[in-house]
Amino acid sequence: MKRKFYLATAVLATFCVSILVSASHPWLGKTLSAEQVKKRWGAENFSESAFKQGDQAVRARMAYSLMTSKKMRGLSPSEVRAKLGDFDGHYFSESYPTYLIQVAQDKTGESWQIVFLINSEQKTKDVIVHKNCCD
Amino acid sequence: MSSLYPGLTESERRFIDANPKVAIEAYWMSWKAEKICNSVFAVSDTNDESDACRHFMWACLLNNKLGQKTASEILDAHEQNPNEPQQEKAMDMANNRRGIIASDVLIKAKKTKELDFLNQFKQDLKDGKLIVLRGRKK
Repeated sequence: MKRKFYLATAVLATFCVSILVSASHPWLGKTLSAEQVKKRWGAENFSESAFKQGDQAVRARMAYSLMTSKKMRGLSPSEVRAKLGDFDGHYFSESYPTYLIQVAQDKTGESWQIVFLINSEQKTKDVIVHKNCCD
Repeated sequence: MSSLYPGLTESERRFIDANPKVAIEAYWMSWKAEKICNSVFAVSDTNDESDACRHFMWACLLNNKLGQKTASEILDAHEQNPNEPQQEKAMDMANNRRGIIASDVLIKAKKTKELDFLNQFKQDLKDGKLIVLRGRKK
């Protein structure tokens, strides 16, 4: 019984460490830290109108600002849509506002997206940069 | 359990609370459908062919595993998102429906491998049987 407990604890600990090290959730996929996002795409200040009118490259440059500034929090997905435009990309379900910032030309490349995570009141609570495709 | 996933619709929450085991299977199949579609498209987008693929494949997998009644119940619950624009919802529901109809035929013919469903998706897309609001750039 004790042996089983230690084995289960070891498996759980390995699982948690692997998630922390790789920033990869077993079914929700890989994400980048704010610093990694800054290094890849820069750190332009977020502007609603520039984001809405901009292409993926413009949006990518504002991802760091969105992640760290706490702007665009506490909004419903409909409010995000009104401010930033129609969603593209996809994260788990259509409920999450998502915006592609890099699209692979083929399956050897990487596609990335900004995702607005929502809370139980269906309001935005955080912003992540998530690998849309492919592992 | 449904409170762990804030992106769920109210109908999905009710389904999960009443059928937790089936809901886990259904979630697993939605994940699998996306993975299968990622083998065809290099991005999971909205309103394009990759979106149609996810809905078609999820419907096929659900129908094959859980039967048409439960599959339709889950797919309909997923589309009860009040924040989703009507035309997007209509696209998703049409592609879900096509997935159910196409997989019914394949299940009867005992062609129930993932590849059978994916090949049917490709054929249906080619034949214009799926709805795509915003086609991918060639």
